[in-house]
Amino acid sequence: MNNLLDFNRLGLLIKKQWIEQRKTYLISAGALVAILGIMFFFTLFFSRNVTLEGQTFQMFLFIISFMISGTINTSRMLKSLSERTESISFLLLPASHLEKFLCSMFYSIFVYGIVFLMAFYLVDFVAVTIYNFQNHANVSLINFLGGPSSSGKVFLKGLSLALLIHAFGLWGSVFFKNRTFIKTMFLGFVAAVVFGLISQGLGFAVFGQSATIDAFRSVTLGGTDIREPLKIELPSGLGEILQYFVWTVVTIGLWVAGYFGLKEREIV
Amino acid sequence: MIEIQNLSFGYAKNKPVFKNLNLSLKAGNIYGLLGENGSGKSSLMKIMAGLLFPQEGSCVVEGYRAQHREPGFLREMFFLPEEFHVSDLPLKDFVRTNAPFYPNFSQEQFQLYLKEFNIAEAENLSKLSYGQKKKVLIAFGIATNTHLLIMDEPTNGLDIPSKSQFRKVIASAIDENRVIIISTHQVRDLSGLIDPIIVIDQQEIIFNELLDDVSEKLSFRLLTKITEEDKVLYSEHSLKGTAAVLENTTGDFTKVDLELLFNAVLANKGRIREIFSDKKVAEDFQGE
Repeated sequence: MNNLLDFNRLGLLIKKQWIEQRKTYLISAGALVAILGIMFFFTLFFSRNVTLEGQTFQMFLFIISFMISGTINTSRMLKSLSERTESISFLLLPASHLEKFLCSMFYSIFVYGIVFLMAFYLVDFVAVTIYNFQNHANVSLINFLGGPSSSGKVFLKGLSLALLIHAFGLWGSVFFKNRTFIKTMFLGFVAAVVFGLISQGLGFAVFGQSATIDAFRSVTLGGTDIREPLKIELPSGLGEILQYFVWTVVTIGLWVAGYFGLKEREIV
Repeated sequence: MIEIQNLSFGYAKNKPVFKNLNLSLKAGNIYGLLGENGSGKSSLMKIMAGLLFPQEGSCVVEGYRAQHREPGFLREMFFLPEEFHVSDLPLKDFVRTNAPFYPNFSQEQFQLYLKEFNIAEAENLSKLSYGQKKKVLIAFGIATNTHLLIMDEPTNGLDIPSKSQFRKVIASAIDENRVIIISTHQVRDLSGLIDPIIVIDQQEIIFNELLDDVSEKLSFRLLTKITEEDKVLYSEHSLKGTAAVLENTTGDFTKVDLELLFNAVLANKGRIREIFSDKKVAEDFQGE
């Protein structure tokens, strides 16, 4: 008997979660469409400066709504662990920790991702159709893969950041025993501030107080005693690769920590 | 079936709940786990279920370390905690989503137990009372046919008829492959059901005996007057006289009163230990 990963058990877990949570998921999907609709139509039809031309507004709404709903989505991951009686049922269900972890990942990344994209494109389609009809314009739906190269980059960045938030949320839901969402978000805020201060502090310690640091890209050395500021810049694209590398390492690290946290979870 | 060796556990470093605990539980028995509030009954059950981890020593169930919570262990163990969670689902969906994880689950048995508890199969779990939900979980737990069934205060929240139904159902569920462990404060609820009796007190197991051995060594009597010849281990006044636990010097067998036994074990643990260790020494001597 495989005590680590059995696809039959994983399937049973996915089915169980669907039957138990389907009402919540369907209501959440409806709420997501409604919120996206409100965001689109209120901004578009009540603000004269906003236009759908150039897709900048669509991209902006996509990133903002992806981040907000992604954060809410992470708060629901492994929700069972934040309540003592529920966590007993969850931990003692005859499936491995890896299967429980993968089931949570399946719903919070794969299913959520598809549902979000469907909801966004549904609202985007309606908004673009109305906009084109009213303005006799020819704006197309946002296209991350075949559209302007910047769209793809923004999408990739948004996706990486969303996965990082997901990993952090998952880690928090395993490690905190109650008020998981608030504690995780607060810790995330503190971690971001501390990381910023440390990286700035390290930069100043190495390059001096007058340096201007653009993380993952360049350091500009300059001051009143130097006529021409000296800019040290990473080769084009390398900074971005480095940034993705760091995000990926942190994301995977948090997922792994979350998995081991689940294995070590005790119920007092 | 369950081997606990040199187990130490505590919630804080300087406050151990158990220290070097050793316990061996064998299949075919319904163990009654008794103890005062805070004695560690629930902690011990959670250690056996893999929800709490020993600081030292081990708890091994059918070759699996409980704390690893591997599927091979979990599919043969069902734990009903005192406070429990059930999803707000129709009963048939609850079974449909949980039963496939237990390879020996019997739908027929489950229906039979539900009938015994007077619960309709068409019910939605969210509409049931606490006691009814508990009865559903008890019926489900027994119908899983796991080798290990652990129940923490199962009769709490059950009405009087349900307690007797519970005894009947549990008595029918035991077989030579199964261990049932039940903890309770309300020992009278489980009278005639649990055997052997385990009593936990002050970080250790102070009593672990079969009821036959208890009635052989101890006598449970209602006395009008206590004389000097009576070797009284524990007594308490009642309307009918003085209920007492005495050393059995006559060889007559009396019905074990679990509540009196529990109080006697706590009140006079030194002497009780001597009485039962004498018996063990005699048995060992006969064995040689």
